Amino acid sequence: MSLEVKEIFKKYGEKTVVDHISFTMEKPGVYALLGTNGAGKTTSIRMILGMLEKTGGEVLFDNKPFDTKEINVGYLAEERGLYPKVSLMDQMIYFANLKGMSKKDAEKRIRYWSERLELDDYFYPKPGPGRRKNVKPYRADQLSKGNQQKVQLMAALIADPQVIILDEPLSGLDPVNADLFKNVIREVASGDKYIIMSSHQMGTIEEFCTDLTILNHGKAVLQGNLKEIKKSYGRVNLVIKADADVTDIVKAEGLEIKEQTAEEMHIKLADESQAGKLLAKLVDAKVPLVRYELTEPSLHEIFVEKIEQSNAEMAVAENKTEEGSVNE
Amino acid sequence: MNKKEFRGLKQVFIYTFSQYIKTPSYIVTLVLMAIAALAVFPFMAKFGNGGKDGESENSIEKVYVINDSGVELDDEALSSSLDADSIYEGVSFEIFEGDEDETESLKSEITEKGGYDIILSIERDLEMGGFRVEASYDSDGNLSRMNVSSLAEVFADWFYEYKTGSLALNDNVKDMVDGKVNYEIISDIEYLGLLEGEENEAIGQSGFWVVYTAIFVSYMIIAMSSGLISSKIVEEKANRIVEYLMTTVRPMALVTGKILAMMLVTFINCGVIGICAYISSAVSKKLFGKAAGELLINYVDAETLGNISVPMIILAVVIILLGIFIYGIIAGLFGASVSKMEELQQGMRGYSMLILIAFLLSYGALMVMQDKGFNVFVWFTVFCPFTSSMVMPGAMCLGEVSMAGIFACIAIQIVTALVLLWFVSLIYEGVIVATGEPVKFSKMMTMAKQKLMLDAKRRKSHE
Repeated sequence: MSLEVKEIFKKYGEKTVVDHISFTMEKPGVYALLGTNGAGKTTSIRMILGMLEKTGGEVLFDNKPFDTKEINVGYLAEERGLYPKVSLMDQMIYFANLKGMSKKDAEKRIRYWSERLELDDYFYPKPGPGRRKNVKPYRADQLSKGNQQKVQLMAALIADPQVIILDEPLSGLDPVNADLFKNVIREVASGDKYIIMSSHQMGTIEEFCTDLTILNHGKAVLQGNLKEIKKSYGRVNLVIKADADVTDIVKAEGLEIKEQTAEEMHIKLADESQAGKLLAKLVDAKVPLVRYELTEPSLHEIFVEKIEQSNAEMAVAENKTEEGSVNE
Repeated sequence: MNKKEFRGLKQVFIYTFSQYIKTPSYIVTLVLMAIAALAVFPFMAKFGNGGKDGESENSIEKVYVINDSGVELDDEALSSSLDADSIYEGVSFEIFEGDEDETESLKSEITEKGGYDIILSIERDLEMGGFRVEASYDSDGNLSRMNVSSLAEVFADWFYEYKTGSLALNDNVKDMVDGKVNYEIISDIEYLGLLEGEENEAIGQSGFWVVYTAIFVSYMIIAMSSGLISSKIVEEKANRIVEYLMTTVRPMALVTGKILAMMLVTFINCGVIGICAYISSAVSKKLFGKAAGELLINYVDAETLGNISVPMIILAVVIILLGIFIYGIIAGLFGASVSKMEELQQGMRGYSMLILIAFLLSYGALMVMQDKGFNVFVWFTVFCPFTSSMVMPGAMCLGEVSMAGIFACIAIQIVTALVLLWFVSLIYEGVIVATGEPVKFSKMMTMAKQKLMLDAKRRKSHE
């Protein structure tokens, strides 16, 4: 079974907001959809889910049109939302009913997930000192933002969906809850689930995702397997930690120092071979090295570079168009 | 528009309905309405015009007639002024020919006797032409204004016929003298027998209040229901729940489910009030010997009361429910055009304007009914789908509309609702996911046009 997004695009009048995006998930896993603000990630997600009508293109699951009626889909939207004045239990049962679950099954799943996400006190509040015996479940507006987010994650996973779309799942979470979310996502991802994750937190993406698409102004500027992409860049990030100052030696090699702290020096190489030459120089100079590490660029660096490159190309193309229209 | 567009309708309907009836405000309102409906008839029997000492009858016993009309009247002629099966059968008449002092002492006498008698004075109306009947009664006595007004109306109608009869004219001349000058527009509707009533007769005071009450109650029900629908939709948008819901529920189901839920709530409210009113009438009959009909006759004339039946009430409720549906769709669309609760009033301007205009047209129709009776303008408001839910129930009470007319009105409402549903289905998806500035009506029209063009393009490419 595969999930295929084929040439989907969206136009509002003459303006194209998503321009022929395609990607494929051949097998269950986690796929990242990245981009700057306004790049078209949420619009793409809405088109995939059928919430927004596509101007063109198609989305297929197992070679059949992707229909949320036929396929069990879980969605955690970027803009979180719960009914503020409705009890958590009522809302969750409603959401489960919408997915075709019976009340009995819903209650079982609610019990499981409320314990898993440490929300059972809110779904099944226990009478305490000064509280009545039959205590009503909490309402959404009585929960903190982090707990509300957990409730929404529960809503996304309540029906054990086959396809899960997580739009900025960790935004606004404290470290403890962020870890809890990550553990849940890891657990879910280990099953036969097709997960599409959108996030600005590159560290999170690198933890979970195998493949990705980077969008800029509605277009895909980079696509593919994360490992392959990093490999194609080569290992060009060098971290040096030494008990002596190596700045002069590094500069003498004509290398770019990206960042320097009291502890370490981060150097950007043009290619891997420069690392060997620098090492030889440092050894010759008898520099007491503590750490000499060659790494691939981070996803953050790749993202920023690609976006800048794309913006530059767009600027050039716009200039050419303007010159052309002036000449006419 | 097809069935797929309403996926999730059942769940939205059940959820909206169950959540609404659980709210404390709804429960309290329903209980208060039920208590009011239960208490109304015993209260009227005990404290209304017919129950001042608990055992007196609320009816006119005698009518004193002061005749300055120039037309000769005698006691026999006056006695025949009331039909044998009229509720005023048994009322006695007496020509009173006293002077001013004697008239004053007659009034005192009437008061002393408990106010069961009235004085009708009939004279030439030199200002307006024709004749004028003035009815005097003791307002602190045992008679109601409605009762007296009703009798005066019956008497005036009788005198109108009698005065020309007294001139001993032959039938031909009598018809020419009596004949009013009317005009009418011949249309197909007349041949379907949709319009009843031979002439454009102005409605009486009791008819006025019946129609006024119907317009006001319908307007309040429709406005409140539609307001709730739009605020629920905005709540889902403002709280961003709509994004999650739309993964399983189609946008049209989100709005239609809410509308149907509000219709069911209204239906239940009407049912509860109806049942309580029935119990109230039975209790009043048991305790005070007066059922609903006998009490309402003091306020509503017999003919109107006779038109009110259970099937008529059910059809009136259906028409009001269809009004909720029509206005609910419009309120849902305008409600979805905004993204924040604070913007709801701004976004609902179009809807507010529409319902206000409909209310004013309905009220205008009422004024025309009171002045001229049922003319073209009034019939327009009776059948126009945006005003019929307010005007038609009252018109049905007055017996002015035939069954064919009632079903035609319902058919027009259903067609209007379907057309609105179709239009909304073209654009609702785009409107409900729009964020930022409220979506203006002009933008909605553009979206509809674009959707139609896109659908046409797709159909062509399939072919």
